[in-house]
Amino acid sequence: MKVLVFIEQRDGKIKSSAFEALTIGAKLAGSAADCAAVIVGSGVESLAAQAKGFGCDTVHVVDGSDFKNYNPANYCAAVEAAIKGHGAKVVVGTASPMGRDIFPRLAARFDGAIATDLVEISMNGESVQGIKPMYAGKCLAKVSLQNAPVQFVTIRPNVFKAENTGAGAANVCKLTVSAVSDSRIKTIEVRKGKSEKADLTEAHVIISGGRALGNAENFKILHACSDVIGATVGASRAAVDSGYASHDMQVGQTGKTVNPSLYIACGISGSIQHMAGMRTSKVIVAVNTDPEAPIFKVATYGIVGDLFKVVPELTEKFKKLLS
Amino acid sequence: MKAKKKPFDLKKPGDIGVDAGALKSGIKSVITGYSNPPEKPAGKVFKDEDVSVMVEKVVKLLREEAKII
Repeated sequence: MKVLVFIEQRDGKIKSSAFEALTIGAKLAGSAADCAAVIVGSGVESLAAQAKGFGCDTVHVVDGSDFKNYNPANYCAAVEAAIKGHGAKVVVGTASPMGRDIFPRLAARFDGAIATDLVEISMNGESVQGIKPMYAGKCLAKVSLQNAPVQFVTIRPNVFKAENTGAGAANVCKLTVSAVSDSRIKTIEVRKGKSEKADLTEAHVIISGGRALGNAENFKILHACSDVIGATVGASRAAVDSGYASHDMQVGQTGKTVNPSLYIACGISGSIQHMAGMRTSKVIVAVNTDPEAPIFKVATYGIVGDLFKVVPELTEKFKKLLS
Repeated sequence: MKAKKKPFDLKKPGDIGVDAGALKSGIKSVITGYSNPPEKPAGKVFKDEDVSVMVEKVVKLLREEAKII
């Protein structure tokens, strides 16, 4: 089975979830010769070497100033060229904001089938099948693709393990693709988030705050703790709506879906919308003054207490432990 | 309550010019089943203790049981 993996990069850095997609792509393909990847951007040719050992023999590179910033029309044209060049029947990517934007567009172009946000994936003959969470993670649906010339799948970040098996030469194959001249979308400017830490969707440890923080200034206690354990700071919608945190920090149904190894929820009651975005975290620690808060129902460990006392204490204990 | 009594105007796909058979044959994505997410064991929640004691316990569990920190 010919498989193509979309390697997502931002600012010349490959997203860690792209290696997870490569690992899955290689498994679906069955051999490095049948697995290829595509990377799109400006000055990204050298990044192809990082795919070596992840199971693909070829990395299609679309490199040019027109691809510096993400533009769906241009990126679609680039990936389309790679799909045709490789003769891919399955295309794998991650369920990141970019993946969520580009994959449905590609599926429409190829009159293909699409399954998104998979947490399990396998081949059933020529068809991709997998499992995806639905209804805010309250149930799992088994999805099967059929009757399509090309099958598109995105995987949930941080679920699959990236494995460098040593197979796959990752030889560069340059593709010349022109920017779409009549595109209705033009990327004018990209404004970066303030945080230099890992993106929430890729973070292994997240410490989030809710409205109980009281104001934006108080988020500093979460930042202090995050510095010690290398966490990314998140927030509930209530905290974002109250102006305590920026929207790019929002975890939940209308924010980001995260899947870290450790999620520490501070002063978050656990609305169904918030839990939709974090309930699949491997370990959840909840800190809340209300012992009846719904967050304790999904928590692995919980502390019923004032976050302004608990979080600084946690920070000190972590500091002591990790020093 | 009036809305509840309003009769529904039920139409079959054919009534609005849709060939249900053709529609079905073109389906590219099928959900073949549903299941519940794996059940998580009940969490350990600490309360009515000194904050430093509760924090100590959680940090110990994170290190020794969950092996996260």
